[in-house]
Amino acid sequence: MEPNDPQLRELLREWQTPEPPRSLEDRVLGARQSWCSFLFQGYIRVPVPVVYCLIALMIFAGWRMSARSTPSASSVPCVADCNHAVAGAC
Amino acid sequence: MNEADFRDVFHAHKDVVFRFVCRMTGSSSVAEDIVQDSFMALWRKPAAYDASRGKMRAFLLGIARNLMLKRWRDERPHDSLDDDALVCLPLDVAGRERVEAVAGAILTLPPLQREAVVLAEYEEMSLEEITQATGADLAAVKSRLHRARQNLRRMLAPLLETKGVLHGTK
Repeated sequence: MEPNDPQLRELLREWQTPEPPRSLEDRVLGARQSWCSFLFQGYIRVPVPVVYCLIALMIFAGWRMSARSTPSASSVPCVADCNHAVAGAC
Repeated sequence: MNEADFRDVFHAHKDVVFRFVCRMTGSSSVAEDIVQDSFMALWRKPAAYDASRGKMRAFLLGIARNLMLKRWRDERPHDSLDDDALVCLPLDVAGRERVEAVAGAILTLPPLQREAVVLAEYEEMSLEEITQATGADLAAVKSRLHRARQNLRRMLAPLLETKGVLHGTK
């Protein structure tokens, strides 16, 4: 800007910008933390649809595991109070 | 560059980079992103800074500028960065705050004119420093500044006249 244009300069100077937020320091200086400290102090952003999918997967996995760990009555071989020679024949 | 050095550089230059991006984009949230990316670029490749080629301030402003221009090209692939023929018309300042009109005028300028006027006017950088930050030659920077000043005077003529200065008489 030419120095002989003080009126325009004065007018332009009326536009002030905000101060940088304090969170900016955390973002910049915090972003350089090591992987070790990241494991204990870091955080990640996860999109909501991904969270839904993870919850659905966990529910499904939990249901599958509970279904496997609860055997049906017909598949249990009778051991006690059984006189059959062949196991599972009762 | 060790952590303490980086911390010092960040505290010394974060304000100027933030102000520059704010005025270039008109958005403080975009400015936060660009400032973060600029300093992270320095952290990852500190050797890219050559003190013999200019000050750290010009170097960081140059990184921020390149990130902004990349974003600009991605968003507006068909728009020119510096339209020589662009002649800005006077702004309709009725019902607008003066500050709002000034911000609007700056943001109306083509990006290369805008960066020249922001660095020269608001950051009081010399022409040489502007060439270091922008990578442009001296003649180009002078030309952009001249056209930016002409456009701003045209756009802000109603406000300049109300301050007692007749547009184009001096």
